[in-house]
Amino acid sequence: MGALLLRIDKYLDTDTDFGAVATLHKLAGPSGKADARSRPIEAAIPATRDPDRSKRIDVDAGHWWIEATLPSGEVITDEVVVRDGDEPVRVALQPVEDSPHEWLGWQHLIGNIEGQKTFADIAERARHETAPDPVGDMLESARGKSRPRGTAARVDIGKPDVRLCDRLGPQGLRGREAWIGVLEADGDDLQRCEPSHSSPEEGLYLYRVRSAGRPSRHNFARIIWGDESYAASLPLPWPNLGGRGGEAEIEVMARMRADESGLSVGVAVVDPGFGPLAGLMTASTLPKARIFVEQAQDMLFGKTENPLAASAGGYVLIATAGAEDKPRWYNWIENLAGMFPDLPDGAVLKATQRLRFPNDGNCYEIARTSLFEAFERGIPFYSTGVAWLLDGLTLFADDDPEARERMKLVHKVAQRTDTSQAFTVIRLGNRKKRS
Amino acid sequence: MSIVHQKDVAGPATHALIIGVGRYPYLNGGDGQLTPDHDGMGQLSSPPVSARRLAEWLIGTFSHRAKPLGTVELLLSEAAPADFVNPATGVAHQIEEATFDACANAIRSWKQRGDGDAGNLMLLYFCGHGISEGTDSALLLADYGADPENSLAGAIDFRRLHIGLQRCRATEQCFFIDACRSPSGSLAAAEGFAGQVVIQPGRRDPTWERPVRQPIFYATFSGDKAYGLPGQASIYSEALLKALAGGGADDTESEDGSWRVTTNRVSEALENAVLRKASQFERMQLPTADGMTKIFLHDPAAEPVVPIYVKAEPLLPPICDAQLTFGTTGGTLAPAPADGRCGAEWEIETKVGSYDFAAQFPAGERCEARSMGIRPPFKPITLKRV
Repeated sequence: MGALLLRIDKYLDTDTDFGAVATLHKLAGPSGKADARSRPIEAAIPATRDPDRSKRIDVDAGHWWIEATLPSGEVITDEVVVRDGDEPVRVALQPVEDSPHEWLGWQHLIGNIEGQKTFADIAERARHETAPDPVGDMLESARGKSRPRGTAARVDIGKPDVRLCDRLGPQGLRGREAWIGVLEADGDDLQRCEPSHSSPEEGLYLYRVRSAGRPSRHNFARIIWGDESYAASLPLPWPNLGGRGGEAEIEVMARMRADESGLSVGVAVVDPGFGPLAGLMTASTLPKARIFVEQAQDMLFGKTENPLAASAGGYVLIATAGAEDKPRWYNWIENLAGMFPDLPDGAVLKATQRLRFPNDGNCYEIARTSLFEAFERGIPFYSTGVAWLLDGLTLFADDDPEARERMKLVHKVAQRTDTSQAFTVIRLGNRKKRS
Repeated sequence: MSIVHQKDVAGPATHALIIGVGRYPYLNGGDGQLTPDHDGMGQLSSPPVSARRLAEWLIGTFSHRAKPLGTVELLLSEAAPADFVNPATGVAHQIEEATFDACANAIRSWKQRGDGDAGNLMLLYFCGHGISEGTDSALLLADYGADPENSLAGAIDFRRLHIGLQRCRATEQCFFIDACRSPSGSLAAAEGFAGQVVIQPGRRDPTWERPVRQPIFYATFSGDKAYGLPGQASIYSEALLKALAGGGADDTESEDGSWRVTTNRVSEALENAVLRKASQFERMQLPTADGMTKIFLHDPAAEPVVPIYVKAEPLLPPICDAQLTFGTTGGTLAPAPADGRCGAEWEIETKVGSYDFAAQFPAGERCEARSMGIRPPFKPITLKRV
């Protein structure tokens, strides 16, 4: 028997125990004889520069292939030999690129911004005038056009105006007023936020906020920059789990690029326990997120101290579930929907669970009721919640006028939702047609 | 109907529908009246090439121990229409143009084939223009813009199609969307209309098997573009074929240690290959997936072929300036294929195993890496100075 001491070698101003999901494949025994029958080992490993915080994993002696998937989607591999009785083998897995700035470590970890070199390359390309585009037949059809030129970021439009609010628009948070009001946010009287870090020449601003003891409401940040504006759902309060106590800070990143991408907004939770889950739950890393959630299921669903983190876990479990007769987490989702009557995501999860895994003849009726309840609770914290609420209502809309009316309102928001973000980020302005 | 391959299969089968749209008469450069909803889009040459190559691969190479290939249906819109020759039978098939009506009929027929058995594996590949707005995606067909008052009548509302196909009995459905997902003013202005509905969303027969697994593999991230080179397969479709050939294989789930291509691995292989290829053209293209869940896609006949990316450690010249050799560990090293040189890396494709690498630069410096394990989905290797 031997052991591995694993970590992702990455600087973060707050180290995390969940820096990546590692999968260990045993390639061969100590003699080098191939071992195709052993099952892979999967475990969450920390992201830290501190070797003493490495995760210890006991393994048989032999040749091991290590594959770590970061929340950003980056996959890092390595191969090591473990010998019986030796000291544990230390493995520090290196991401290909560091964060563009140390203060963007969390945004980089969860994939909201490119690595340092890629970021610099994009900026460099944008600064230089270019010859006609060599990629003549893009699916975007830019034949004969030149690549964008100019500066990496628009520096001529000042800095973002970021304000925090409990409620967007004059009409409140629940029901149709929430779905209409979020698109009509004005709020000059809202609390203005100052950036904690910025790089104006690169078009980057970072804001850190916390609930500061205010009662649990659905908070939004409204970001206006140039002629673009967004509303970002803020998962506040976000209690730290696992005995850490206190409350995690929320990061809002505003980035303005010179090309047609324009303004983008990224939200991250600086929670060493569950912050990285936001990255894993988007896109192709979902199966890895499931490993993460399964290993932390007691903490997430046991006492339900953090319903927002539990909701993230619920999305992952439902999205990746197989054909189990009655998944063991079925009741967790029911509890989440019942225990937190202001949490839209709980009701979305319950409805989706009933639609995907019906366990009795009333499932469609229960799902419909839950979808309506979710609509009543307002905008989900997670973009997946917006999408699933829309999909659920769409199923009923054809022959159900009440569902159709709700679907139309949700659709307007869903169309403006940035589906690449884990948390709900909604574009408020209108988009122009391209010429 | 453009079924280009059909084989009777007893029990679950794989059914593929492939759509490649390059000729758009009502977009820039087309021979029809330019639609006001062109959004800057024009003619494409990659999609028909990509669609043909995927159809050929499925017919010639695809293998699934539990779900053999049943049908392949192909629709194309191309500047110079040509028959498709089935590589297995040699039979030439005339291909229907990928208009909305033709594609809608093909999708309905494909769904009906899927309804035949809950165990069927359904594959849908679309390559052409795509536009997105939040959760909405429209797949643009050859007659997009034919009606200037309703351009999106020539498009498929992909979100609703995806939901509607929950009413297909087959419980494994994979969607490969090789198209831009750029934001669109036309879609935003359409107030929720994102193309026509082909399969009406509704309740799944309660007696049918669940859950329906429907992963979507997008060529690019939401809001971004996908790329191709003139007259060649798209970057994504090339990467997809490589992923199916081995980059997307896994040996940890099978009892006998054999390699099987899975959706999970394909996703990882696609992400790596597309990102690297696009960066060669100074582009950012990052494939992504929705609803990822593990589905077995293919049983390769041979050991998987895995891409490896070799570079020299910092302070050494670029590896492409060196004479690079490689071979199985302990064996004779042979020169790496010269066409693998690419910027600061040397790309090699080789079978799973343990390999040694050695390189010598013109000035005499040498670097190497020994006993490097090569497994899917890919392997970056840095040679150290010796």
